[in-house]
Amino acid sequence: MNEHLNDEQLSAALLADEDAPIAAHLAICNECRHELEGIRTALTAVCAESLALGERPQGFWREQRHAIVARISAGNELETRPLAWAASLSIVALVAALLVQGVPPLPLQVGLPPASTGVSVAADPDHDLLVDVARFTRRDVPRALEPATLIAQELHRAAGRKSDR
Amino acid sequence: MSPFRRAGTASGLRAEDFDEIVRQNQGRVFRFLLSLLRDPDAADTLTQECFLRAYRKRASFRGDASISTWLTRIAFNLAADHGKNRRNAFWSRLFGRSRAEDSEAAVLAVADAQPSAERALIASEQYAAVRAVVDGLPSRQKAVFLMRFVEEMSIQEIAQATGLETGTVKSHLHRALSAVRQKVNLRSTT
Repeated sequence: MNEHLNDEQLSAALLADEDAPIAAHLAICNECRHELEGIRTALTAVCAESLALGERPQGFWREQRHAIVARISAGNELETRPLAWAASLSIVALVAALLVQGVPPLPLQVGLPPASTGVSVAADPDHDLLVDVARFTRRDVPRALEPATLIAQELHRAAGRKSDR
Repeated sequence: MSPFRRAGTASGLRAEDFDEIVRQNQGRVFRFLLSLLRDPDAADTLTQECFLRAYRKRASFRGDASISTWLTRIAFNLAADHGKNRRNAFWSRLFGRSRAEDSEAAVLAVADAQPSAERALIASEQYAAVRAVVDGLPSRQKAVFLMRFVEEMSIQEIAQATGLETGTVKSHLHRALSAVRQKVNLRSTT
């Protein structure tokens, strides 16, 4: 290799790509070696400048870490907040639905074990459940169909009266 | 309780390790962003953003690349997004003077490290000339250049960080070095 190194070859030398012909040329060509050293020195200067530019006191890094932690904490809260809101809203919605339903109170004596068993009626969950079951079994038709049932009964009675005549 | 510990561990990167990851890499990420953007405030903000994004995406870290390469990739993308923002051009112009002062301080810092006044002058002149070349490089080329010669990343690592093919990374480096070579040659002949 008698000619001087071109851009590509010089770049290869700078990037530490192993290339025997380039190394051989650099061994005998002062001009190319000098140029290579000049570029290396310039790159070292850029590197040193960047390193110096990035130097900061310990306080800076500590504050930066605190800022990162604070932003991550804020992010975590934002992630969990919607879940908390959703849970609260569902509880409120459930309570509201129960209140709006307005279930009429039923007599407690529905053939259930008397209070003499020693168990408090109000506190016994089994008793409450049985009261609910009794309430629904006693109801002939769903509440929503009660008007329709009344109409049907009226029609049935009217038909009965006609047949009597 | 550390916020890192609150988010569970069912992820590619354990939340418990994040504090240490920040400690080990914040200097590198900040330096890279500062070299790229030449704006200390933006570099600080984007460094924070980088770790925030890394924390959120920690489940996607597969370990194909090192953590530092992965963080460099995030920082590179943030810097690219930052560059796209037109408003930054306004702030760049507004704060251009302070950045120039920063650069001057950096030159002095480099010069201080040299044993003699003559060497300091050479370092300062070389810095000014080559820095101008580096600053004038297209953003992607500049990022690749800084990754290689400041962060001393391998071609493979740069490819992982930028999402480019290794051949493209080499091509960027060749072009950048060619520009530096021309500048150095011009200076040596004048």
